[in-house]
Amino acid sequence: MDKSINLSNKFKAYFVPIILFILSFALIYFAIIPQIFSIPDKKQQMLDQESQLASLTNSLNVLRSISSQNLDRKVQLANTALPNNKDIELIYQSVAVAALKSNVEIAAFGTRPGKIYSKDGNIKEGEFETDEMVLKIQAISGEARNLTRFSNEIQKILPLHDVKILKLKEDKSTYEVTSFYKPSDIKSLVERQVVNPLSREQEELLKVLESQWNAQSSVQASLSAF
Amino acid sequence: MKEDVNLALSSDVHIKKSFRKAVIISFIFFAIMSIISAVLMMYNLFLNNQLNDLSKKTSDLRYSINLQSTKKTKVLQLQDRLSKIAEIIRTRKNLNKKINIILSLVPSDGMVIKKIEADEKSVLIEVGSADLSLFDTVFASVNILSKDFTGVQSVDLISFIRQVDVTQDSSNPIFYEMILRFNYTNNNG
Repeated sequence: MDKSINLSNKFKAYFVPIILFILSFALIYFAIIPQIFSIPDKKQQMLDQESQLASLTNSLNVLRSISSQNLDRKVQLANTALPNNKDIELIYQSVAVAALKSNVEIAAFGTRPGKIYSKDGNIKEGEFETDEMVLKIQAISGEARNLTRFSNEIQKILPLHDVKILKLKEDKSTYEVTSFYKPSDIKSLVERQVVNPLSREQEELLKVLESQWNAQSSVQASLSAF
Repeated sequence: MKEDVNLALSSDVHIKKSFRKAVIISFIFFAIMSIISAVLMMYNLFLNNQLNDLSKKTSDLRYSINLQSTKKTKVLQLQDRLSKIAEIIRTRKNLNKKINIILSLVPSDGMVIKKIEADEKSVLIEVGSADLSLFDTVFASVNILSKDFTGVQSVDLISFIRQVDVTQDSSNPIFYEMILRFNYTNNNG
């Protein structure tokens, strides 16, 4: 009996160290290990946030640096080069400018309007690709070189065109021309937060478009005067 | 008996020593673990604060950008449109470029262009002249330019016709006509 009391006293004496070891291992398992594992995640999150912050600051600086008036003019120019929809009137006016500049007469002008509605499941939401409209133009001139010049002028006018087929015989020629347009996807643009400044190539392109438009609009003005 | 008592004493001392050792080791171990977990907890709190600060700054910036949403949409629309315009210009077939190069081979004085048929794959040109030597000029130019032509795979002489005008009022009754076809490779500019 004495022996058993003595043994239980011995175990009671080790009770405190055992509890301390159990608590220590509980700390390792429940506090130290999870916190060690969470540090890289948090550091990654911080890096992501910092880069997001940098790009947003950059976006805000870009927006503050652009003048609204200048921006409107550039948007208008880009929309003239690549309209939002099939603007037949704008296209015809530009073709008339090309005809006037190359000294030819437009004998016939027709379009193949193409798709007016699509329920294509393959088109993802927010994905608006460039669309095309095919034009058939017949022109007359006493000089064959004028008729080839006309096709050169079509390539220079805005909205953008691409001469695909040219058939010229003596004083008459037929052209198959592609006219480009692109519907705006404002919804996806509104959702985007990052705004980068215009690249050097984009600024150069705007200058080219502007000079083309200036050359065209003076002729267009004289056409309207008639 | 004396010996027994001595033995009992030595065992008690041994137990007390090992008990004290266990208490000290367990306490030191617990203390170290507590310090480590406290340091880690503080470091995590510091990281959380930093993250909160950053996300607050981010949401403030988003708000400031949203105040200029009209301008932002216009800039993005402009960039989107310009990239599409650049793509269209880059991928245009440049049929005119081909035609212009071929027309540069034809002398403007004394030779007339009667027909041109051009598409992506080939350019066919029919020219006519009363002066036979002008055709030599054209052939010579074709030979020179064909070495530099980008994309021209072959040049075919489709026909060469000598015509005689039998009407009495014609001062120069002989007239020549030639049809050439320039075939292009698929990857031509």
